[in-house]
Amino acid sequence: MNKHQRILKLYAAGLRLYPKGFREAYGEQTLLTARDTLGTASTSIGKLRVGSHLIIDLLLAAVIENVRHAEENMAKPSQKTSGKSALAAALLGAQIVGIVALSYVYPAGTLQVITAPRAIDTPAVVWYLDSVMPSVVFAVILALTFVLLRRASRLSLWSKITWSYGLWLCGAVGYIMFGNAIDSVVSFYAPNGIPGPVGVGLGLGYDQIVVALIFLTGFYLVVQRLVRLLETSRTTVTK
Amino acid sequence: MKRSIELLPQVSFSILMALSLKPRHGYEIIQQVDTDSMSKIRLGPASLYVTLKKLIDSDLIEEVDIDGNERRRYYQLTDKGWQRLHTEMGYYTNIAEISKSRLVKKWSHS
Repeated sequence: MNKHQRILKLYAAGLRLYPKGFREAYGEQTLLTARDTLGTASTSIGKLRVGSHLIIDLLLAAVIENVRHAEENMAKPSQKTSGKSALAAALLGAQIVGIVALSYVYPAGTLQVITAPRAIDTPAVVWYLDSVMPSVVFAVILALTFVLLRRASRLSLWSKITWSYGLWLCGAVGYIMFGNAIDSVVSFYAPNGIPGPVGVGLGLGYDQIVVALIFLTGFYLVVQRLVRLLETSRTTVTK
Repeated sequence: MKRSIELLPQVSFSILMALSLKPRHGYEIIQQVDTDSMSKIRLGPASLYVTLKKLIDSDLIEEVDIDGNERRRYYQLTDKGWQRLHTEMGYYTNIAEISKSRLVKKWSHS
């Protein structure tokens, strides 16, 4: 394999950074044009110069195209999806948001659901496992969630985000009702937390503010989604 | 009432200019843009197709079949593309004339 082919092979691999739709529509043409461009260089140094220009262009344009693709997805109206994939995305997406939020709010070892109370004379290794276990469990769930969420690709990015928040909101409310996090959300006292600049006046700690913000955002998105669903059904009726 | 339009980015404008002569495929567009801009704009293939996609989505250019070359895709301006190019050209011509008159005025004073 000569230098020319190696650069083109690298270029073809780099095209995988682009959204699938773009690759299918323009991937072959892009590669063809890259081959023509590379063909203009005759010397080794020239090939290297043109090749590096091609690769840099490929990477920069990939960022632009991916950002545009994400924007287009977010701007799309909610897509009709089968109940199964929507539920899968919702359940799994909720995990991502929930886990990230919980990992932030509860540092490893302080989540009582996972770490059971221990006697004073418990061996050190058990204490250590207790402290590590939440992070391990979070990481496993996060990995599974990520893998499974990819399968629910029929949903638009916007749908995934809103469904995730919606389910996380429901899950979190249930969580609070069971008494594990009542203090961190609704209490005006922060005995262990450090009050944030906004929270000083209210007596809130950073963790309470973060959880409150997540809830408010989630609530806003769910309401927005419900309104959109209502609008969609109304349009269908009118038609 | 006059509608204000957002000017096209320079690369998009250059591509429309390159397609104003005849339908072209990707590599021909790159070469024409290079010539038109006196090598000031050097388009890479990826940037080119990302921009072409945007122009197609905006309905300013379209694909066209050219006999005898099934592998390469050719692009040409749409009616909307011609109109847009005309509007942009009008703007740039006006700007160039204003700038020129101001420069002449400055030279004549100095």
